[in-house]
Amino acid sequence: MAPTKRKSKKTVAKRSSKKRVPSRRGSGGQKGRRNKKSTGPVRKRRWFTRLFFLGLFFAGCTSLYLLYLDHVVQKKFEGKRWAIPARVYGRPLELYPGAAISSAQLKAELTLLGYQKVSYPKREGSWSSHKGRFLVRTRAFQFWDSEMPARYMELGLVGGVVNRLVDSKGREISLVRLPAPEVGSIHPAHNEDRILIRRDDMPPLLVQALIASEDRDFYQHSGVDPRGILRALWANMRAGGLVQGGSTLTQQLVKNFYLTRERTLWRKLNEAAMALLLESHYSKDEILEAYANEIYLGQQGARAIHGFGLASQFYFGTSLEALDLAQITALVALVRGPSYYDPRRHPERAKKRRNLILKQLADRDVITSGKATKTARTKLILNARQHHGGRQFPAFMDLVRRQLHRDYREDDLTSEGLRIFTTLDPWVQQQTEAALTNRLDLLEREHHLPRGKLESAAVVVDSQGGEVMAMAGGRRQSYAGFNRALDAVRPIGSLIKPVVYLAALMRSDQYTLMTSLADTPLTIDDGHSELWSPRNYDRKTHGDVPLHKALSASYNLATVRLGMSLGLGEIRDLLSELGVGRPINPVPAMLLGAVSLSPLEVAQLYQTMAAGGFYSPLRAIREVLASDGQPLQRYPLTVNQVVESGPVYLLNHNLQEVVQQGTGRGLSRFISPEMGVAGKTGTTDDLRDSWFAGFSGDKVGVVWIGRDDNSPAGLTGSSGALPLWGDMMRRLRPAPLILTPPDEVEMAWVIPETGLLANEYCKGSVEIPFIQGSAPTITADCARGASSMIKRLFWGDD
Amino acid sequence: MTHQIFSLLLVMLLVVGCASTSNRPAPVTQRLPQENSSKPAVSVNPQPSESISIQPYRQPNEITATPVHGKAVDALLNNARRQEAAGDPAAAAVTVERALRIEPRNAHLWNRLANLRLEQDRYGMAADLAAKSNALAGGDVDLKRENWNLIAKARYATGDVDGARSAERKARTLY
Repeated sequence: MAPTKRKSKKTVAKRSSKKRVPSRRGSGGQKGRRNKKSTGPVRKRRWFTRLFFLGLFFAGCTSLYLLYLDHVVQKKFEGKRWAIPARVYGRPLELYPGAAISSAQLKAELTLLGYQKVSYPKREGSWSSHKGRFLVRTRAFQFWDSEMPARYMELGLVGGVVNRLVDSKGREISLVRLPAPEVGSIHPAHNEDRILIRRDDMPPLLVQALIASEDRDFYQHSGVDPRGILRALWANMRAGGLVQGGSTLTQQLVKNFYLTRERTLWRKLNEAAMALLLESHYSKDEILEAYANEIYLGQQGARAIHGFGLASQFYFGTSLEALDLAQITALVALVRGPSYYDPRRHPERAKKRRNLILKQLADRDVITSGKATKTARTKLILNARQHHGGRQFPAFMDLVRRQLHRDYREDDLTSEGLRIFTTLDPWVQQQTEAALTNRLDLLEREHHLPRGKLESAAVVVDSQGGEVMAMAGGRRQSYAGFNRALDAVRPIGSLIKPVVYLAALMRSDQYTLMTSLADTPLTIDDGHSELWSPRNYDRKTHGDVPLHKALSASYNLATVRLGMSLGLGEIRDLLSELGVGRPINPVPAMLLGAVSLSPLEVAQLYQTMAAGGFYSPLRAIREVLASDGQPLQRYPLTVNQVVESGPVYLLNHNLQEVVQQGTGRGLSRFISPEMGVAGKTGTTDDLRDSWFAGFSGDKVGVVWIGRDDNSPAGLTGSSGALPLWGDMMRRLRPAPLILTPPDEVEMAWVIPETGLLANEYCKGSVEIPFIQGSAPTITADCARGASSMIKRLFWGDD
Repeated sequence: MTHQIFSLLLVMLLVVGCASTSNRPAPVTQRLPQENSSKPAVSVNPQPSESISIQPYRQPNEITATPVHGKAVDALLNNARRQEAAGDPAAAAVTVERALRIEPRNAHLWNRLANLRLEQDRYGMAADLAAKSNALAGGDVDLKRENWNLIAKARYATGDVDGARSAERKARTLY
């Protein structure tokens, strides 16, 4: 501002001294003009006048321009300076004695947290392991419900179970959670990412190193440093090239903050003017803080790493405060050119530059020269894990984003620095992806299918609470393209059948698991299109079959007959009650799965069954926190009973039979039948879609395999999706499914062929659950005989 | 040898005979506390469970509503109790939800969550959670009675007097 004012004073003075000129001219205008042409002094005076006005004009423009620059400088600096992307976290791993956690899983979790494996964990964020004994030193973490301080713990894992968990003093820890791993962030369009730091968070060494290498007189100059420019000129002349820059930190900030990257004199002038303006308004500390957050320090794909806060995480996997001398100087080395000095691609260059900064620090007596030499000999140790920035689990991130968009604007997500705690279980996700990749290759080889054509999607959901634990949207996991788990809406085939049978079992006065159904040919005229004559998959008919057998063997004819007698509307309504939001057209072909759903919708449907008839909307997010740690939103656990427990119990019992004796028995290659897993296969016309949906005691899994062009995939539900599902679930070490019979259910022994009441001594009898009062009442001969025999034994003959 | 076989047979018959005449709750409920105390170590292909042993019949233990669960869940429940006492049922609910992620089939935890929701005047949610607790309660009659009474309270609060009375009736008829 000062120079502008001075200039304007001068112009005012000039104006007053020459005020008389126009008045004199005014007295004889015409004459004066003629005179001007002829006389020299007058002509000179005219020139002065013109020059004067020109000067006045420029002075005015300059002042206006400077005022404008001043406005720009202040507005951007005062306002919100940076858009901070929302950070997305996976679920924190809960550790407690008895927790089922394998050694591999714990290692994967610690790696995902960016913790370093060492021989003994002395620093926060490091761990060691030896024969199932883990020593872990965590970092502090702000959870949605509490702040966890950094802590040390010792874990013993035996047979995939935590059997020992103690703190540094050897006291048992009953429960502790590891920090939630960051699994991505939601970027704005220009892809700048950063973690904001305050001036107080900046280690003194970082400030010293910045000043030593970039701007020695930072605390003395007023934005522009003429001595620095001369020094740089001299150094460059001596070296015969560009070795030193004369820009101050303030100028660098201005350049990055307000200006384009072009190298012109005009920009340079602007930069100097703005630097002076910035310094006149703000303190050195404020400028330094802005600089430390603005500076560009690296690139990962389309994501630009800005500021020392994020760079520290990106290169070393730790917070800025935890960095040592070698790490701090390595970061400062990047200021001159993050790609030229990229320590990952050019370690030698980066090391050389770092060592130069160490020397500069020693020259300024910030550190001893001994320490500088010693540190200069150390290698650059970088974070093993490349921070993925939202590209690691694209399918799940897609789901999170869609759920967030219901409640937040895109702007808030990409700029407000929200912290989003999701339900993603990274271990489950990794296992799901691994199973999917392996199995698709294997299936193509085993079934002689064209290579690389099969596509797939998988969803894993927690069976009681409806939390989405993992989601794979296709074969190429890192590719954020078409998300089949959400958007591949395909006919579900026989996966619909459990809904038909549930509708029947809900009428307990008419149907039990033993009710006889006719698996015989039929033709349906729905009055609109041509006649429909469904067939069984094996092209045979099976006559009268008990209801449970019709489901476990997936008989089409019996199912269509059953569905038609129940009514299509009833089945459509039940489908929507079980959680399918999509409108369904109630046509007869619906009974055999001419209903198109996405894998996630199928997961919702089967989750309601797994949870015993309680519907919980599937959730991917638990909590959203503002950048200051204030809770913004919770997505609480809710349940809503949509079907009575009795019929669902019978259905789930029947779905266990599917796996033990029916179309799902191939699962025994992967999971022991004793686990009691329940599930159902699904195949559509011409083998276009291969499905398997099922659940263990703790997880619901849905797998779809097919082709993007909707041509036949060549796989049935049992030959394609089932082995993938089995492989996936085996890796996840599921809990056994032990169904709790509700009060209204009673068990009864029956003879399968006749449906008559029996007891366990009757040859070939099976125990079947019934809704109370619906069990058969006619007793088979063998049971009558046995009971009379027992009576005789105890009470003798009457 | 024949003597041994005979005594074995006798014991077996005893067990069978008693089982068919007593009103013993379903076996699942007796296993429930142990299952919940810690997630069972599940191997993918578990060995056949321990060989069947035959024991003389014993009067089944009375199942009470005293929750039995692992130390981890215990710690969380204590925490939740403190938060509730401090007048923050919302925070307590977050803690109980965390416990439910560790033991999702623990009927007592569902009941705790239902109570906290009732305290927050979220009646529909409370009744639903109590129903879920009932579905997992097995033979824990006391817990079921508690749940039905909770459902009755929630229904009264929403003006559903008939529904509340029928829930109370259910609570009374449980034995």
